[in-house]
Amino acid sequence: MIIKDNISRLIYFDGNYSLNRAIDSNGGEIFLEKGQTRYLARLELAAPDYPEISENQVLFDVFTTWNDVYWQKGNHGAIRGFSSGLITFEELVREKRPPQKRADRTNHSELRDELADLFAGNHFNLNLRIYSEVDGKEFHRNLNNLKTYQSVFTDILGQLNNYWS
Amino acid sequence: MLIKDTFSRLLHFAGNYNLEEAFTKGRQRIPLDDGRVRYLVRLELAPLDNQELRTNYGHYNVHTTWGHVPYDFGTKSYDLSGIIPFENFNLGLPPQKRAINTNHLQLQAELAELITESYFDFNAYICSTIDGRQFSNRNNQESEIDNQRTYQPVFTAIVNDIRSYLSSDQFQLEKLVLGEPVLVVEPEPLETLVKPEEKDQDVPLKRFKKLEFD
Repeated sequence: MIIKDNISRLIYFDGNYSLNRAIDSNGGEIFLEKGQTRYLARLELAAPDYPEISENQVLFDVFTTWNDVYWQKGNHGAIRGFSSGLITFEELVREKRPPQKRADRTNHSELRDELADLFAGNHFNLNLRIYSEVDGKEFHRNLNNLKTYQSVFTDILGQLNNYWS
Repeated sequence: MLIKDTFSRLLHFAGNYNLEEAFTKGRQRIPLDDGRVRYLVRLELAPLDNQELRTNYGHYNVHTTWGHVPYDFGTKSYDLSGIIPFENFNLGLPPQKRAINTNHLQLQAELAELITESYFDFNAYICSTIDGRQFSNRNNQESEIDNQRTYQPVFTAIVNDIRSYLSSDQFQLEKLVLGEPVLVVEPEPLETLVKPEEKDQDVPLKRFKKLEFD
């Protein structure tokens, strides 16, 4: 019989942040009146030889109050403009819980490298959900999420730095 | 920022077993020449207040050396070249993910009696040389192996492994230190399994054809 017995550490955290500007895909700045954001994260830390976390991963997903809103072209007598489906920020974040699973890929390699310095000697897996009332649809532009939420990532990194040390 | 700091404990068990008989879904008992089985178990334990394991699961999958044997409609027989030798079969990696449901309620109940202070997620691979197609070319449910009944001795062995480990001195929650495996026991060599004597390669085919025309 073979037995391997390993521990991984699971840290869940959530916090709020208020954005005052967003960045679009062309680098343009958009100043925000409503920029409430809430983040919920699952961070798993394990030894480098932990069998199921062989590399560091950082994944974030953004969900906005505009997610169910789409642009209707006004065909067949419909009104041209945004459809209904806009919800309030309170409705968006109601009863939300941190992710329950590991991230399976990385979409923020810069944050991953910074966390690798912080958690040197361990492997980690960060799965992050950002709930936000900021959406490019509102401004008829596509947002650059990496740049728009950079201050949120910086806040998370700072908080983790405090916690870990 | 709110922080909740908890842990999860991951146990991997692996072992070998020699089965002497198998049972089909048609309630037929088949004595086995080659009943080598290797089990690979992933058992995750988490505190009762954790957010991710909210119930106990007991799940297993059976993988056989016949898994890639196709039916050849030309010769109206199975293409036995697809049989993977047991030695080359998936014998190394236990499941890497949690079970998402239970397909062995009795096993789940037995484990629940052993593991009372945490939720558990049991996911096992049973790697086996036993496949219903070996014994009949009739592709119907009657000739399929009744996995739960056939592998019951294996499940009993797994539960015994887990019971003995959980009651051992090595298993103590207060010893938990992140970054240090609590215990690693060296793999048991495959030679402990009884391997049937080498036979000519076409013997299984002959045996199969004999069954086909009986």
